Amino acid sequence: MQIEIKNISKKFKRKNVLRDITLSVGEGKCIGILGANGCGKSTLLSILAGVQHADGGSFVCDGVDLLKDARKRAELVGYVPQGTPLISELSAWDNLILWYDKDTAKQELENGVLHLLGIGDFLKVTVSKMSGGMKKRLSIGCAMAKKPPILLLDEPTAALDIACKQHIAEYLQHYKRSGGILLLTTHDVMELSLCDAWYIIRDGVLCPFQFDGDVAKLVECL
Amino acid sequence: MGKYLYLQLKRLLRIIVPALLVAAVLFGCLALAYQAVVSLADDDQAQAKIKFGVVGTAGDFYLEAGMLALNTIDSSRFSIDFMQMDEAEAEAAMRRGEIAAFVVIPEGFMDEAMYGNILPIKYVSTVGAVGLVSLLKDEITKMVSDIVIDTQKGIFGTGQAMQEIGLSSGDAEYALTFEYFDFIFSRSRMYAVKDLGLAEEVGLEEYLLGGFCVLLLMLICLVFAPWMVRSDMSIARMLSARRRPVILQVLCDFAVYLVGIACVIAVLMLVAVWTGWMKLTAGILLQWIPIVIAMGALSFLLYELTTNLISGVLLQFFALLALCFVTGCLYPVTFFPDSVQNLAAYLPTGIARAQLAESFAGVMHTDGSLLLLGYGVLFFAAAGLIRKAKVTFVRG
Repeated sequence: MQIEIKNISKKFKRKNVLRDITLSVGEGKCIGILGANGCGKSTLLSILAGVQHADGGSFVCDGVDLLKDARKRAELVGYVPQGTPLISELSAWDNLILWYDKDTAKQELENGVLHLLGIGDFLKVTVSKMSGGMKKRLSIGCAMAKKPPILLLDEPTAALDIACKQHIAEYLQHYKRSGGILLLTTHDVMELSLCDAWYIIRDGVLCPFQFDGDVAKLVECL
Repeated sequence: MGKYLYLQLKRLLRIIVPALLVAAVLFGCLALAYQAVVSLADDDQAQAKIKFGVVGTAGDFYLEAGMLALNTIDSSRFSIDFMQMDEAEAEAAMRRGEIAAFVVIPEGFMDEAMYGNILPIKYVSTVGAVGLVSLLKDEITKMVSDIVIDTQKGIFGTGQAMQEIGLSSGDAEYALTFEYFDFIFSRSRMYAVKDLGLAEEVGLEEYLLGGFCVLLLMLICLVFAPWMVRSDMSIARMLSARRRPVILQVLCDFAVYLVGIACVIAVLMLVAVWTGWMKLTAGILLQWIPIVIAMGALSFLLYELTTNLISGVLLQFFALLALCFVTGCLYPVTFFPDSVQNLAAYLPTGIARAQLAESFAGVMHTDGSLLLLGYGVLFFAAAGLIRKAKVTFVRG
């Protein structure tokens, strides 16, 4: 499986936030998208997830333009937006059954993705009482409900402690190894090390960037 | 969206008890305030027998007899007390608020009147008195003194005119005087009391109860603020990415919100009925449906406009206070200028107040309900558009 993002553009009033974003990603690869705050990283992911419309361009997977075929997109693409996409008054289990059938959720908790994310440890805890790491793991667990081969993550480990970041990074490595395609926006060096290719959005244009662990060089490029 | 609706209902269950407790406290406070206002109004009305000072009648047989007749025989004795006093005493009594006004009948008034000469009677009343009862007092005392003075002037003037042209005025004058007494004593047939600015069928108590209910309803909406204000749109975005349209999400949220409001109102109504504080009929219950929908949709829209709890509560509170004030839920709308009264009649809180007041008075009108349902649809559509904009507006 391969995805082709071609000429995606988006304008807010007169400002070109994204200009002809073009990118292709193969199976089992992770792409890191970097850029200054407000450069258009989240906008790009939300367009690919179908939350907002692009002014032009395509997002093709196996010959299907996912920007036009919403059904296929919902089937193939998992999306974890910034923030906490959970119902805070309810437990982890309640949040899971919004996305999973009860039987599937139980199965996944035993030996599937939810098990890998360690969600069984806090299944009855109310979201408002969870730590940031628990919430993020649960959010990723919810996004993985249909086992999508493409996962879009908007700053997945922002504001988490190192142990939580490590836990999530381990799961994402597993996802990659199982052939999943990862697109993540990040400012985090640990997440960058997960990626196989790096891009920076500057003035709405996507530029390739070679990250070799030199943060100073990265800051210069931003 | 069935699962989403189910989970939202489950979420409602978590917060309904605290919401009920807060609403019960608000209900108690408002009910006490309402009772206090109503009993004050009742006391005011009970004590509203207008005291009217009459100066300059001491020693005059005819005037004293007339006063005795007014205080003992005339139908005015149930609403007006005529009190004989001297001018200084009358002035002091009026300043203390013990009498509404007084008339000073000049010395020799009756003697002059016998010859057809009318000496002017001085009418003294307070200026700037505020409130329904004092307004009515001023109006009535002025009306009574006008009638007395002008009619007597007319009778004696006629007598004098007849004498001037050489006709005997004796019988005619007596006939006119008796006609006048007859008119004065039975004048209650000539007027009807109309509540200022209220619907013809609605009394002050129903009016106040209607306003109280609208205010309570808006406060109940405020109780749900911590639950309704959404600062994080990420779950809506995730649902949207999974082909759960924003409009259906909004519909589920609104339906659950209405269920929450309806539950709180139902419990409070049961308490009100159980304590005998309020009587409920099918008509009243039916009137509540469009009102809850419209008011719920309005507060739902206000919550959609905000992104944090403090601004949500402030916006909701000031909007409801302003709307309730302008539409006469806090203070009779009659005291506002005509333009405001006209506007209030078309604002949702104004329509809701009028509908409820009418239903408490046993009157049913459907046009107001239809208008409220229209408002409900409008507010819901606006809330849907705002939510859609918030969900799709992702920058960064």
